Amino acid sequence: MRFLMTGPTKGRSVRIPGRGHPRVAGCACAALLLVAAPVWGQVPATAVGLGYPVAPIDARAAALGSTGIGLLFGTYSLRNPADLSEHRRPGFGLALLAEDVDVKGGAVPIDTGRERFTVIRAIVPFAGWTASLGFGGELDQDWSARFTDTLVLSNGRVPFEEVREHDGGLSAIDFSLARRLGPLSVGATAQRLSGSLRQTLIRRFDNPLEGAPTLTNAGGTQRIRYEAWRFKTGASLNIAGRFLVSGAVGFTGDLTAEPQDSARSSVLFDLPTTVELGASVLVADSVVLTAGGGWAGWSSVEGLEEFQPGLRTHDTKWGGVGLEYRSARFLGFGVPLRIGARRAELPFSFGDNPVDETAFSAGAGFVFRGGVAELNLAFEFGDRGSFADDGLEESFRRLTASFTLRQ
Amino acid sequence: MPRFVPNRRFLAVGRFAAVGRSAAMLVVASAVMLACTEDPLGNLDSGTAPGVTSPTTEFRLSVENLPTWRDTTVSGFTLRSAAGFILLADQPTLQSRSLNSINVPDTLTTIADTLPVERFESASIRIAIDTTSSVFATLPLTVRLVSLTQGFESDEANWTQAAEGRSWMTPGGDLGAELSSVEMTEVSDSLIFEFQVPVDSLLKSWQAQDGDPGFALVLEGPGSQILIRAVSLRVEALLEGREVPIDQELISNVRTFITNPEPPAEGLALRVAGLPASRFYVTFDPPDSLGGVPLLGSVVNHAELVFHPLPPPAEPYVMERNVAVRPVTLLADPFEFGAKTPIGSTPAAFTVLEPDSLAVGELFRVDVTVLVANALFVEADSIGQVRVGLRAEPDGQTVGFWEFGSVEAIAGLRPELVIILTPPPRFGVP
Repeated sequence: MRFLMTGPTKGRSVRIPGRGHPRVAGCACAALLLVAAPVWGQVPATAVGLGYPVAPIDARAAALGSTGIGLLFGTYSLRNPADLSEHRRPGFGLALLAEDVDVKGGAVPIDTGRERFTVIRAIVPFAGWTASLGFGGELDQDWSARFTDTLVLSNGRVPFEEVREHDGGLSAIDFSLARRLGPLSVGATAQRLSGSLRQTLIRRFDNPLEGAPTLTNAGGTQRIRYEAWRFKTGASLNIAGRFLVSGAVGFTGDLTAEPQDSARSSVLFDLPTTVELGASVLVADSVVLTAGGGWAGWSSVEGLEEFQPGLRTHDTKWGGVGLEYRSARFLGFGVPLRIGARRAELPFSFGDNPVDETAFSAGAGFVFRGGVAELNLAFEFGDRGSFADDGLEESFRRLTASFTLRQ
Repeated sequence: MPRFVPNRRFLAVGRFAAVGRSAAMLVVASAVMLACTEDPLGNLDSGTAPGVTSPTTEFRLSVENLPTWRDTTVSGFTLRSAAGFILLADQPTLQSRSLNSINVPDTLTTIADTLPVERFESASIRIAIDTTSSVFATLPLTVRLVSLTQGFESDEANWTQAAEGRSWMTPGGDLGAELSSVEMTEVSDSLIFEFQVPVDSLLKSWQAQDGDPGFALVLEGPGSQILIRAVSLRVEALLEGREVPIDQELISNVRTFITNPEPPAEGLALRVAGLPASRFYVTFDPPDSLGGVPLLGSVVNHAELVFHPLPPPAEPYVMERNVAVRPVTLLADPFEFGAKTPIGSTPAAFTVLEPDSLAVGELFRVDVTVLVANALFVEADSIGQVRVGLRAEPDGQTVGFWEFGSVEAIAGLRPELVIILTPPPRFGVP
């Protein structure tokens, strides 16, 4: 879960116009360096606002346009608790996402990678009920920038390496319960949102040049703890096992961001209400057509501009469609094939509009022993943002792998 | 012999396992390939990289702008009587003579025992000359060994007085009879002069009077000066009850050298080196903030005191060679304890002062990073005082010295404090 941007050893000097030699009452100052520009150059999506929203979905849903709601034959995604009723046997699943990203906006794109668990979930049906305990990704805030530069002093230069790193994010511990009432299912979820972020700045000075003195390294760190509650309720309707429609609404309380080891007081962010809908239909016994979408009121999040000048928050919409062919076989095993497409908006940008993310997906499953074990892979190719409009732009190639076991 | 034949069920499980392994390996390999993304060259720098940074800024303050600053020169740490050398000079700008006294003992100690001296068979004064530090303007030159007619106090004698309140009859020492002389006609790397001295009269006199009144070494060689590392009396003595005389070397333990002119007295400038050895001490309170940046909580990347050299002292007291100067922490207020101020550790490496560089105005920079950084931790919410002394390492290696501008100097020559500072990064949430 690391975003690493490595700059070359350029050894060039940085002299910020207008910042040299400011006068301070009673002393002459040669102040030569390095103040963070209010608008950065190449910004990873995980560095903007509260981070990059992670969809808590498995690989099957990822291959089907990241729908994950109202999916026939069950999903381990955390979108709608009512969808739990599609599981008739106890099971366990986990999904890992790896993403290769080009961060654009500069003369040369920065190639980097991110990995994260998107969902881990155990499901237990009993007497018309289905319960689950799970973990889902919520916000990814990991990134790291490393570069070399040179500090110019009045009597020489000192090369240095600087590391700026954010390590952390927000996850959800999910407890869900669903009740099947004939074709109708209803469900409810309580999620404890919890996480932490460690922000680090390290500046390591190298050997001085041209008579400059040897400098002590500098930097600092700050830890932030996050906590919030979210409650979701949803319903789904399964008609004859061939058509499933599903919807859920989520209400999230204030996210408390509490800096540790700091005099700074806690900050509250009003996380959004969410609405998600999805449906799927079984066509000709072997083809599943699915579509889903949702809305999140991220514009309720206020106060971020204080920490990131120019940042805007936006309500967001997402939508995806997918097609699954379930009858393919290979070496005697079922190999469902999937394709999908999606479009989503990201809530944080430096522009007037939300950041658009579009992706095309394809995937396959490997079903062992009639579904006792199942491996699913999803490949996505997409872009997000426009540097000119949003202040961030990335293209990405993503692999989601999930593995499930059923009794 | 039974042979293992796999049944169909085993083959199916084996195929399952093989496919499972292949699939698992595919997933792992794919994940690893993507997870371990190469990080090629990017084009980030301080201005374009995302995230919070904190400026590293250089501040240069003239010390009169500090909350407090005091400086002073303290002299007398090494006197001429304790220096590691003796200077003889016969130059237009400097006349220098050596005064010595050797207490000839009544007894001598051998490996076996200590016995009274029955008689001295022979005696000679030996001097070892440091030719690399000497100036031989003319050859031949002569070193004369002359008896003194008036005793001296080695810590108090100078060109005009033999002791505090007791003047020489003749400035430069009351010289009596010449005991011996050596003429030097050529220079070699190692020079030891030996003066034969009369046994009966002189040694018995020194024996009787504990070495008083002593003798002087006088250089006659216009434009020359020689540096003597050691003066000793070599005797061949017959001890009571022994039939074979023994050789012994007695070190001149009461000695000094006197010069004309005397070193100039210390003024307001900050002086280091010389004989008597001078150091200078400074105390100051760092400012609470610089350019709006509070020092408390910030990282002091570097702090140094910058001293501006004054023009060279008048001849002959220009520092004659490179001198290593090291900072020392002062464990008490030097303005209360003066020369008795206890000194502590060395917070930074020494600096070599080069006379040629100082003469063209090269600044003397003293690293006080550790001292300033420590001052930030004296108390939780206030900054402590910095006390630092500058001393030659070791003291007393040169007759000459150098002076630097103090806070009383004219603008441009006053000491300065340079601090390079990085405030704590102001991380946001998140």
